[in-house]
Amino acid sequence: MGMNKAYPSTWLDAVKTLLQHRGRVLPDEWERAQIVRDATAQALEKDIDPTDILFEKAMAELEREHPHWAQILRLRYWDGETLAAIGHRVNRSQASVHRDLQAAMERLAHILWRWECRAEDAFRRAQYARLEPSTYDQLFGVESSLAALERNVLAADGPTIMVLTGMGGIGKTSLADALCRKLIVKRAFAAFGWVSLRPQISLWDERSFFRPISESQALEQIFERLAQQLLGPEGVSAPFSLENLLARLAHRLHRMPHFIVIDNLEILDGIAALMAELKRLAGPTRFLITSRVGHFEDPDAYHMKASPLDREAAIALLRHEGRRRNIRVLLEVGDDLLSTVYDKVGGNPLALRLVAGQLHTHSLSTVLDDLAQARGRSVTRLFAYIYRRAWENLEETEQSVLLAMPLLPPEGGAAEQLIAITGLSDEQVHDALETLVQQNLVDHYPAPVQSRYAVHHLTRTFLQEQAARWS
Amino acid sequence: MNPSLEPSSTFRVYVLRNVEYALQLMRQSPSASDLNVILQALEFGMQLDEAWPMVRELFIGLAPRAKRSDGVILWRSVMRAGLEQAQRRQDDDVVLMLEYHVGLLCQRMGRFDQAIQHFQRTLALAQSKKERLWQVRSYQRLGYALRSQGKWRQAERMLLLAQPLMTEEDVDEQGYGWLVLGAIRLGQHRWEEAYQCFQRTLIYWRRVADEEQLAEAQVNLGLAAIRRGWATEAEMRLRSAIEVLERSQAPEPLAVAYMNLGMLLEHNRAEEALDYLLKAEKLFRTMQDRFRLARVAVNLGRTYYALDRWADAIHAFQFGMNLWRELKRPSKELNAAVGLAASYARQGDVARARVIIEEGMATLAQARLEVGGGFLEDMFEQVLEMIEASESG
Repeated sequence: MGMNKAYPSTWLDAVKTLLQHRGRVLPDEWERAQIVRDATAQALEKDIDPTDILFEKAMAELEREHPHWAQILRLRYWDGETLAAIGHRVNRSQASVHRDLQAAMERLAHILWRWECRAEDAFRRAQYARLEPSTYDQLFGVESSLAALERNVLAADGPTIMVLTGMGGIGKTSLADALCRKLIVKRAFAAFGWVSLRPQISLWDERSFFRPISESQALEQIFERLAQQLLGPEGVSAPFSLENLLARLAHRLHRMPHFIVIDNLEILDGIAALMAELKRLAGPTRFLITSRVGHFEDPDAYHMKASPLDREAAIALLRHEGRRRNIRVLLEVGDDLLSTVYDKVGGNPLALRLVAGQLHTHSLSTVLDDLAQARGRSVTRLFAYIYRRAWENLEETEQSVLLAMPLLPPEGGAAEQLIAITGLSDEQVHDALETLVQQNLVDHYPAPVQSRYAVHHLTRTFLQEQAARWS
Repeated sequence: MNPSLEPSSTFRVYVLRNVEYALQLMRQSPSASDLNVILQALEFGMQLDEAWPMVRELFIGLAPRAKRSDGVILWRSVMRAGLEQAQRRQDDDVVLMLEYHVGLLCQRMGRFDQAIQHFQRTLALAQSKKERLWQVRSYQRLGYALRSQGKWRQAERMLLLAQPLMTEEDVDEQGYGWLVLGAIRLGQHRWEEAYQCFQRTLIYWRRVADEEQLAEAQVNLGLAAIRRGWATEAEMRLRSAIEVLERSQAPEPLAVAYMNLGMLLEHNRAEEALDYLLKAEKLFRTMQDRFRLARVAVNLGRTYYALDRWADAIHAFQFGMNLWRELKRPSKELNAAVGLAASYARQGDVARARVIIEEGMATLAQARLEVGGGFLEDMFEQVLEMIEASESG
């Protein structure tokens, strides 16, 4: 919101109403205001009225700017004097006092509006910072799922705990991310939280590269992260105890509606205790959980399935990849050929993006022939196949860089680390990264100081599970 | 597939190189994002036997850092995983060191029982390995943890057990032992002895010539001097400590020094006290230290009260009272309630003040405090008298 934007007339009306009724009536406009939410959050610990805090601060500013206006506002609305009495006291006519009062109220509304604009900007920045970087620049075919999720989240009697399920790569995290961003713009909740669960790494274990984390360990990690995000430094108690932390979170979450995402729940070895705590914390706060597996045994968790893209959305995604990655064939061929890709790959967006990436080095007919061999396989095996083919088509330096990717922190790492790990030159690593980004095997997060590179967690899993056996 | 790249063995090499890279980062005072790289490198490296020599070096370098970092739970989980691996590899030196540091982390989280268990295991291992200095460290940290639980006698016993194992050359631990004993004496309200103990700490730590450590001893001496009523000396010691600690950016002792100086000045030089207390409050918030935050809130309340700033005093006392309630310290909660009631009374909200006094008296009756109950009752009565005097006058 621009700093110089004039305030709407409803804002001035709200300020006038508040002055005239001195806290007894709270106009809707005022209750929705970010400055009021911020003041309410600050006032949770103290037994004070947030409107009083704001008006005292605004009056102090008005006093510095226009002492006379502040004086007559105080006389009129704090001391309850009549216009005639004020006129007598300040030696002005009633009409003149009336004019000054109007001007003073407008100035006060202006001061509060200026703060409101700043507060809204700060709110959005702070909430976005809690999300992880988006892995997409545009989503396809999610409009109806997104709208359904939003409806449920915003419905007064909607579910307080929702579980978004779906296979790996289907876009659960992206959907949750898009929903959060939409709700942040609308300032639909007092604040937002996001916790991504990370599995433990079990290197050289034949059965699985990732080991589920214990629920008790996850509980502490989830709630410590949430407390850091939602309560700030002063909210996390020292000495620390989970009970203390949960009590502090409950105090906040029950008084102000928050929207909290817990991503990748499938990595836990059990969820009963976590669900029990979430139920205690929910309402008016809402939780959205993403998981590859459903938890239908829990009657309080409302399940929604992230669906694969339909044919039209899949074709739109492939065309978009063509534009984004400059893969001409995806822009030039007709819908019938792209429809064949959809028939072979299905509507999994990650799988489609990976197949699109292969068109950098192979013709569409070769890729389609290849995919014919994977026809009828389960999604997991289809991914294994696609990754395997992608791997085989890489140059050795590209393979080296890709193989090193799981060693970078999950939120991404710098090219410098890849140089140290692979022993390749700066130029070799950057060239390899360019190819890997083009093929959608690596995500690139540009930054002014140091760009970061990361892999999708499915890519990470497959790299490790398969790489260990591909020798 | 390119035949020259064999993923499985290549990945092993990469894991090793990554640990090496992390080790380099650690040697050059790592940033917060570097720490993420190091933690990830540890997670992989821990599972590879050939990486262990470097991994153990990483742990040895990281462990002392954990004491001051954010994300206590994350650190504790990494250190515990390291401890598990070190036990599996029977690397007793690393087990010893990690048991000790996990204990310190538990202590920082206020889990004194767990901290004691870790220190006991450190002690047992140190005894079996005949590691004299580790035995001393274990006994003395056990002493500190027991003191934090109010178990003065047991805490003192630990210090006595450490004493014969120390030589005059162990200046660090000699100084620390006196520091813990001083803290025990403060808890027992034996101010004179506490002062003497802290002086002994100062003498030892002067030999270390570590400016920051010396300043920490001065902070404790300053507090003991306040308790003894030696205001001039207390101020001098606290100011000299602050000068050093502001330079070295050591947040914890600096915040304590600010708080103590604020407390010293709050009656006679309230404006100046306010400045120090606000600085302390800011640091305690950042450190997430709710015990001291509660303490400083009540001091702030008293200072605002001295400055006739009733609304600010009310906010500060209320905040302190809420915190002490959460921390389950009824006597301190009631002490804040006295201040809150007095502030409301001075602000003119006599009805509110009376309600707080009534609730406070009821809590006092239920809490059955062993110490200080009578004093608090007197304080509530004094506020009531003040209210009645103002009403009649």
